[in-house]
Amino acid sequence: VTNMIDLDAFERLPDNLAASVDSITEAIRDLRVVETPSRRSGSGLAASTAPLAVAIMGDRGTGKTTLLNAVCVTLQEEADEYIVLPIMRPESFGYHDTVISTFLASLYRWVAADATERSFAIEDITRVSRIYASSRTPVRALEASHNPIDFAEDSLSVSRSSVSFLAELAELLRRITSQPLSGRRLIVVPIDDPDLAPELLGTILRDVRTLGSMPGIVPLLCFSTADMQLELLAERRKRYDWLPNSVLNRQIERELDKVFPHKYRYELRPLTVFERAIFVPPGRRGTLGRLVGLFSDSLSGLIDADVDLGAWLRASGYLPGLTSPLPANPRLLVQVWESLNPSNPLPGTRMQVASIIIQRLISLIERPLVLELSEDFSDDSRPLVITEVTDAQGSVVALEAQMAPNNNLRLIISRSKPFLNTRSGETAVQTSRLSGITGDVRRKGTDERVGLSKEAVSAHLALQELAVQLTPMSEQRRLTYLGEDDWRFLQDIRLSGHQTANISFLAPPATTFSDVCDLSDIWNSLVDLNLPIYDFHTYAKAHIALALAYLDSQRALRAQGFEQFEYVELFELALSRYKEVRSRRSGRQDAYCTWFEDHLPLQWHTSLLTEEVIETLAERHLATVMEGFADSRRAGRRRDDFLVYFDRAMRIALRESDAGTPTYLGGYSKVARILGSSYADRFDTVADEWRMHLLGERAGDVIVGASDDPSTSSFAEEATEEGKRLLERAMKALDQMETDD
Amino acid sequence: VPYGPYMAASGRSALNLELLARWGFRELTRAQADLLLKRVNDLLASRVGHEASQYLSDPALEQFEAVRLGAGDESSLIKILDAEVPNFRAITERHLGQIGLVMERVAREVKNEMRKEASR
Repeated sequence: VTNMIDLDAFERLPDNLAASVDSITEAIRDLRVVETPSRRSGSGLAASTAPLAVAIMGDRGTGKTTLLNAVCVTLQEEADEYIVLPIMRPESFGYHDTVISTFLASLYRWVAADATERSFAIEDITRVSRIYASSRTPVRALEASHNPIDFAEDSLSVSRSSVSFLAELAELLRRITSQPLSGRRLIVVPIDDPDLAPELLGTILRDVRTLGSMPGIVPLLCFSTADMQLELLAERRKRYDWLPNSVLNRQIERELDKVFPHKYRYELRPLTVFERAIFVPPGRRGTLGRLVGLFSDSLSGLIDADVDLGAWLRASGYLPGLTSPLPANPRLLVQVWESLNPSNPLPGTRMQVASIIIQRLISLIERPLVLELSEDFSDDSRPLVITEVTDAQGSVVALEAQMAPNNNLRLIISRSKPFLNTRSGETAVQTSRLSGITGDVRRKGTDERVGLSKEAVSAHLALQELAVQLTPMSEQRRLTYLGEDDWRFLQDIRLSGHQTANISFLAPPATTFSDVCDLSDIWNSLVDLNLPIYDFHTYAKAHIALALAYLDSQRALRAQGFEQFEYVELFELALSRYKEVRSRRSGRQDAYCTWFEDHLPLQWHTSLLTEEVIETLAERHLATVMEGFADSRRAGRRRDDFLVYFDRAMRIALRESDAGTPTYLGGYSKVARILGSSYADRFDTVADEWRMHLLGERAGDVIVGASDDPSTSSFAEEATEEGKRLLERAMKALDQMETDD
Repeated sequence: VPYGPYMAASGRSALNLELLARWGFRELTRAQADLLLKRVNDLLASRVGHEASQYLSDPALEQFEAVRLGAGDESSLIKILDAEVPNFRAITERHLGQIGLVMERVAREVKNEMRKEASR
């Protein structure tokens, strides 16, 4: 029924629990002081006051039991002050066991362990135990009495023993806990997870109350509040099935309030990201953050990609809506830690080992997602499936990963501020910070969309990270990513006063957890540079710098990094980096290449560069890209994929409804023609119109210098006498000036 | 110099509206302001054009004319124009300044008259 505590096992406590141990032991010390003689004046029932019990509450795996053990060990060391009974585990209770009977049994063992010193108590305990036992005699046992008189006497003594039990127990405790020299001792009664014995829960709580109201005893329980509440509710529902759950829940809360005063409740919260990063299981070496780094490195070497899962444990913080995909709960975290621990070698080749580790990681990470999308996933359809590719000898040579094709997750981003109205006639770019991200999912077979928790969204992105590291993005059936639409949403671009579809500056797509974290950081750092909104040129340079920073896993953009370069120089830099990384299969490099191939040319509008420069850039660009496709140096993509994103972005800009082509698209005519976009013909139709427009604007620039104040002038709502006269006189004055000339 | 069309096409009316407001014409409705602005632009274009023709180089004038007639190379015109910006700006600012002075005087006079009438 009870377990003795293994002292050695708890010498090393996880850091996050150490502080909790201190505060709980402190509280119990306080309780010992509270148990002053005033509370024990008199004897028997009068002595009992409000019950006192200490509760450690927390979800499964947060370390309640560990904490309970640690508190007991700490208190045991102060044997003069505390009698710590062995921890009770109600799930192992037999049919007749109760908390009180176990308590008496443990107390007996404690007394018997030192019979010479404590002999006085043996007799008392035996008597109290007997009284307790007889108080619990069931009526059916009494019915065996020979005659009515016996029955009456027996039942009378049973009911008497119930009353006298409390008084006798109080007296017994008084004698055990009093010490001649130091103050009174406190008996600590630890009980682990009463909610694991649901059918006994009612009795357990009642007994805890009884014990808690005895001077000199402090019950110390740990349980999961949610589970406890659920079990009690189920119990209540059997009796009061006509009452609504809310009423029953309130009742339960009141009952728990009586047993566990709020002052003595300790809630274990989930681990913060920082605590997860520095997590080390007790007695082991190496933080989880370090193990994740090691794993990333060795996986990189094995599959020839740049794996960096560091963002999974970035302690400094995440974009609102994201959190670390690794579990917040120490029990699961120990499993992650053990899975990644290189000193636990697994049998098999390196690839097999990687396969096992990745599968374990997936099963630990996918939980929040599978839980929330339980309709979409079952035992044979997981969000991410890893397939081992074997050679003729049957050994694993590669791993392939596929995200579940039926996933309807969509990322929705929010921006931090609305865009201002700019002056008409200007070329202006306004950007907004990416201020948060939410995931939403379409319920199977309906149009209903539901939001996902940040844990589930993060889990999904983390799984995608594993997926695209093993199998290139273009071979994945369906991925969720931050892409064209999101970047368009975060900016407002006017070209010479024309409202555009904001396609000029698209950042690379972000598919994985790390990519989304890094790219949103870089994007926000670009916004924070506060580039002048009319400075299209600097903005274009900043965007090339953004893609390069992303490729190099930097997390912020600095103006010094790109300001001293010319646009064309930055293009050359981007091009040489493209040549370097195009043969790599890793997700981020793939994203960079996609950006270089299809999104960068979207900047080449005649508002930014002259047609001659565009021609040079586009020709160099095309030649480089084609060179990669020709000798298939470009990993994961084919010739047919080229311009897919380019055309997709262009299609958005075209007004499909009235089949018209907005004038500003004429500025793309050159680049579309050279690269071979399918929209080149449509752009040619407006190219002349656009040229005239641009020319006019250039001429206009000459006349009135740009003012940086985009404020709008307000004029009168209605015609007034004064306005009419002003107009008349002004016209006359202008006519006069003309004739004077 | 076919200056007017380019200026009209430049779509800078919002900025010029600001100028009107600064000169003291806030009591106009938006439609009246547009009307007045068109007149200011016409006058400015004719005065700037007239004066610029004396300063601009011959190739620039030729290009201007060619582009206006729908032929010619726009990008080389832009280059020429960019090269001769200082002249343009100086001329324009001067004429705009003159117009502005007159307009401010008009606005002040009209407002004074109105105020006198009201107090009477």
